[in-house]
Amino acid sequence: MNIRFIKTFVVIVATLASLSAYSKTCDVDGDGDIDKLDINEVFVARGQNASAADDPRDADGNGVITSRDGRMCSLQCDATRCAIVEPAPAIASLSVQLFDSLSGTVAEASATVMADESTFDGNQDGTILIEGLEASELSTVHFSAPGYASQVQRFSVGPRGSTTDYPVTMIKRQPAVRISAQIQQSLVGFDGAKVSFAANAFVDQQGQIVTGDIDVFITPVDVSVNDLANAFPGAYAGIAEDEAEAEPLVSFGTTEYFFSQNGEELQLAAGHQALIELPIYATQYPSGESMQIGDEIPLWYLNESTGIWEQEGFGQVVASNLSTTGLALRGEVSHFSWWNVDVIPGGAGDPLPPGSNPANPPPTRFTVNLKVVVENDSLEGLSTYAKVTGSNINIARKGTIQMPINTVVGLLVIRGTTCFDASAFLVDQGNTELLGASPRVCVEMLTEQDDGKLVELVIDQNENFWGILTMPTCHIVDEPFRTARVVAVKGVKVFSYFSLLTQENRLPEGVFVNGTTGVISGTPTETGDFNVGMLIQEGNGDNHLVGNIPIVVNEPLTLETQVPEQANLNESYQSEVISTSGGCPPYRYKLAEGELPDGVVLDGLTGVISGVPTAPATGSFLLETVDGEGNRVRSQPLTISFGTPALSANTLPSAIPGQLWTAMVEDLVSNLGGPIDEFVVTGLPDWLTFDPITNEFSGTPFESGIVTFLVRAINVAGESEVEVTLAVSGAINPPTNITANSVGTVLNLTWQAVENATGYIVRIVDTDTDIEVRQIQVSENQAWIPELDPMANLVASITTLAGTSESQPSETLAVSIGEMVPTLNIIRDFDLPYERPNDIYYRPQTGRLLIAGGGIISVDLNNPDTYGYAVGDANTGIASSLFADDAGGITYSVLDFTSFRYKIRRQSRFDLAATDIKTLIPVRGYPVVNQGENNSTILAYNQSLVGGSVFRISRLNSNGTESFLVNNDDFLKPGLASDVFYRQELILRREIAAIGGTALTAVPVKAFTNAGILGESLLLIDQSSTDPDSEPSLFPLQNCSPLFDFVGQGVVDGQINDLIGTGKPNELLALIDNPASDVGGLLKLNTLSGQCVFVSGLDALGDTYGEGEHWDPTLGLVSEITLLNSQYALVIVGVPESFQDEVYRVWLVDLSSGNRTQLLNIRYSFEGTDA
Amino acid sequence: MTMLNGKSTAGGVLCALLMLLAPPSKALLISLEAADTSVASGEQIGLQLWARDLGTEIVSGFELDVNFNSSLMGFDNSLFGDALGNGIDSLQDSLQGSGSINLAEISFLSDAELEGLQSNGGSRVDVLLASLFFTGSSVGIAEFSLSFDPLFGGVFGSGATDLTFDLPSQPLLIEVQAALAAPVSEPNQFAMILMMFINLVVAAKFSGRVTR
Repeated sequence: MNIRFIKTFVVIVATLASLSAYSKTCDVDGDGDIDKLDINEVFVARGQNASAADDPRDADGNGVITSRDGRMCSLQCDATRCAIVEPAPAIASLSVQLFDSLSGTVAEASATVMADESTFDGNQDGTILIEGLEASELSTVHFSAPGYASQVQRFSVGPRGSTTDYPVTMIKRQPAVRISAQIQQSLVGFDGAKVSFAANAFVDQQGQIVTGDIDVFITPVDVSVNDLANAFPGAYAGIAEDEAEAEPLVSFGTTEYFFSQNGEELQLAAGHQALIELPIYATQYPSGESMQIGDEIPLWYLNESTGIWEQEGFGQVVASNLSTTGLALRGEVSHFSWWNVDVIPGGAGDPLPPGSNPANPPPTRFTVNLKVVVENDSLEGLSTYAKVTGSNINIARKGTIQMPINTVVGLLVIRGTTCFDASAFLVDQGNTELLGASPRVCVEMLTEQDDGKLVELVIDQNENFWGILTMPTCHIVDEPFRTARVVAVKGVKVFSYFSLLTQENRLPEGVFVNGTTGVISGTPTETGDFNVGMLIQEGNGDNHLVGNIPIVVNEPLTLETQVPEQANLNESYQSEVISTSGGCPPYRYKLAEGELPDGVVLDGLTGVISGVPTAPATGSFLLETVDGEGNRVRSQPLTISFGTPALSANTLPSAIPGQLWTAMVEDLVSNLGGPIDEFVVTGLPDWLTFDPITNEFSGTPFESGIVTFLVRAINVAGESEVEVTLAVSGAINPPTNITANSVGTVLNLTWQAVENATGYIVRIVDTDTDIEVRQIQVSENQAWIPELDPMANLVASITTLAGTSESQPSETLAVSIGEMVPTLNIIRDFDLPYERPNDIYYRPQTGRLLIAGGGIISVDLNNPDTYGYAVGDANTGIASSLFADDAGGITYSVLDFTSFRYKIRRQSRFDLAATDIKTLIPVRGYPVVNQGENNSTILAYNQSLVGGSVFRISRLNSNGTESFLVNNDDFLKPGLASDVFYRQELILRREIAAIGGTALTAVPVKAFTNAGILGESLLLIDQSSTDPDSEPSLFPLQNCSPLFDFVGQGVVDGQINDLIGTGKPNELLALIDNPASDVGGLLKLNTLSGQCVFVSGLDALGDTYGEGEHWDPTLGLVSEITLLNSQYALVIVGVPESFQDEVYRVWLVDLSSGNRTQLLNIRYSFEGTDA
Repeated sequence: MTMLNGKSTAGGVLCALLMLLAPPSKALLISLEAADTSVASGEQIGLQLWARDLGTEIVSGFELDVNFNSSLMGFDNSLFGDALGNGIDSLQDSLQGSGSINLAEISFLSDAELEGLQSNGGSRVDVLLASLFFTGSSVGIAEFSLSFDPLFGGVFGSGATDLTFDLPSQPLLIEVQAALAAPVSEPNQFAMILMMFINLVVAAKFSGRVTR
């Protein structure tokens, strides 16, 4: 045979055989691509035999590596000319199953990979697939779920393409305590975990100091209970102060401190410290030394970005009755996180063992040489790895690593017995298969001779060992089944799980296995002993039995106590044997709340409280039993007292007039001393009695006030007396002192305001028909009710509102209504200068309406037939503006006839003479005064200068000096054809209104062009402004109503007739009308938001002026507003049509409903001769 | 290098066998050529390893052994040709054994790129695979021959297929002359051309085909 043909045949066969595997064959460096680096590997190996059938260098598969293999591979390069390809990052995945520390899984969880902050959401089974992690590296992942404390874990990620399963345990946060952030606080949480901090110590995420209520979550983890210890966050590794590298840690307990407001996490403000106490759950150091009160132990916080603990100072071990071990670690911290009581074995915080030589202490850390053995030739050259979990059974320490199989890896362990579990995995084309798990191997490391021990974890794939059933052996009926799981450790994925149901094996009723995850959960509904077995079904359909674990479901844990409540001094005290049943023994006992009295102690193993008290003392507490699985039950509140009574008064909730009040004496006083034989009470008010047999107070108060009396406690050792104070308040009383008055057709009801009332309901009933003809709700103690039938027999009754509560109705009051609108005649003298109403003001203290005009007229609104002069008389001068302050004084502007100068005057009381506080020289138009901020006066006027005038708004000081807020004649407004002329406005005798009471003064001004009036604007002037030449802003009046046509920016086609502050922040009430459309009305304006609300319409032709009347600009419109109270306003409108007989109408407007009714006519008549 | 030597020996035996079986026809020729037929002891001489008569084929890689009398000639160094990527787009290796040089080069270039490099005006050109430099050490006639291990070596064409090629049936002879006592003038140019012509004729006359 010709050699040429033989060779060719071999090459073809080899080529075909290798073609299908080209992409894998030539990737010698295993980085997922073929490039120069791979070809070079082939080239330098030429002449060698292939290492295996699938040696990637043997491209033609002929068993030897040749140049031809190199050329074959070069043809498979990923880039032209075999350019080096930047290898894709080797990535792998984690499949994390999240377990609740007590039962079942955690749904709605999410995971954040700290390296790149990528997030992954879990499913309802509590499984999260985390992808894109760097293969064969450590990865730190943060877990969160609603209601759970945060969890951070560091994972050993498997090799490229692998998916490694990990369980992670989370613990539910303890219930929150809601507190005020503005008060110094000292809080005690679960197992005596404490925190104390100063007032205003917290900041939000923006660094702003937090006010109001905040929620405090304090969640300790009992690291002595295995299931709970799994919730330990982060690695068991920490970086000690002044060190750079992390070292192994041993934890005695860790606690999460979490503070939030509306879900936003809060932190301590810079410069603030908080005092914390962390419950200690284990009391033996790694060195074997027992923990003692006063010991100093490093304090660590969890760096959540690394999962490594970092030391921040030291804490001191203190006694804590609420801790399960009676110990806690107290320390100061500057921020909140997970805090941890840890020591580094043989290092920081770990004292030397007793009797040891300090120069040569026994080792506490050892190296274990670990090897995972998988004897399987077919695995050679394949990607495999092992996951090994080591757990120290003496203390809370656990860790999981990922390592190559059949390779020795040194591992640090600490003194004691460490047990290892290993699983081996095969990574094949993106699938991670379970090769098997080793039986658990434990190694005891105590002496130097133990250092370097080799631990072999043998995974025998031929072993009939297919899964691990993890299940606590004790459970409680009708409570969630404790965390349990069956997991396959060998075989072909995907696995399915089933529980065995045979005569010998079954789960308790109510407990089920999740067929996908293997998680066993539910609530057992029966007690008894059970054997639990599971069936694992491989992806190929093969079934395997796992486990035959005996478990017990017990009745719930119960605690019965017989604790004598008192004892004599210097005599032995011992509580009765405590009966505990159910749960999962063994039991431990601790205090859940409160303190034992000095002189006795609690035996944590028996629950017996004993001692010989030598001094008076009292302690109130809850006793708690904790069983071996962490189940807890508390006693009823217990109190033990020794020696002489020592009373202190308690703070009591108020008694309510008219309601029966009862209380036990123990509610009123606390005893900090010895047992009490008898209570004696003296000084009780008539309505209150005390029963010395039952120790109960009882009685019904009939009026508000403060009641004090004495309580004395007596026993054989002595007595103690304390004064008790009881407040009687808070009743919702119906209104009293109701008065009714008819102002024409309007009924005016007033009554005495009721304390704590939020409103009143007024009901009018027709007694002839017994029909309620009117019901209105008012906010203050006055109601104006129009449109009642003057012929009906009516009664009124009023009910007080306090929030959602109502009082009983008041006594009924008969009321009568007039038939006509009354008219007030004001007589003027032709000899005196006449002045129309320029301003009105209702003074609620007297129920009188003040009218500024010729002098200031005072009218009793309830009897508007007559009038008098509040200031001067008709000859006093022209009063153009006024306001009354809350103290009962009045400030007004008036033209002094003697000097023909406008003066600003102030009367501190109405019965006192006014004081001139400002003389305006010269003034054009009518100056206006109003209440300014901080009880100052705001003054607006137009000062006449040669050739013009200057418009000014100022803050008027008590000494007459002015602080100008606005000092300008014309403000150029963008978009307007011309200036805004105040001067013109004033000459036309239209007033300028200045509104105070808030930080903003609003001033209506008129805009003119050469062609005429544009309309009116509203200037908003900041009272805090210091630059009188700055241009005020414009209120967007064009937004007020579509009825007011927009003309220019901020200018309406109409008149702003009056403007007042309502007393509410940023709220003005404006009376605006539009002559062109004959439409006007009251509007509420919000100076902050620019919003307008139309309150009540007053159409100009119909109501405001009267039929046939019209407004003559040369005469001006009388149009003023004043408030009766927060609900009612008066509006006076009218046109001085007839010089000798002018009538102005006073309207009553309900601001809440917008309804209006005419209340009064004011007629100006003239007597004498027109000189 | 022991293994390479072993391969060379086996390759030599196979080559001899194949030469006898091969029918005479024009095919790819791998030749070792020199400009001179003699070199003075202590002086260097250059040899070229050529792939000639490619026809439609290209050379994408090769691994060949150059055998020589190491008692008469000493190997100095080798330079690969640039038709396979010039060491930038190729991997090159030259391993010296006792009396043999293993030369290997594989290209990173695509077959199309190699066709471009190894053509001129649409026709294949001869490809200089490598130049080797030796120094005469002892007086005598030095023999240079080519061989390859059919399991590991050879010449590869498009798609990394093995190419059938011929090797010279006679060794290349280079006379190593006694060292010159004193500096001499350059050889007469005409004489050099004449010697080269004679050498080529001899080589062509004694060439034989080798199949793989």
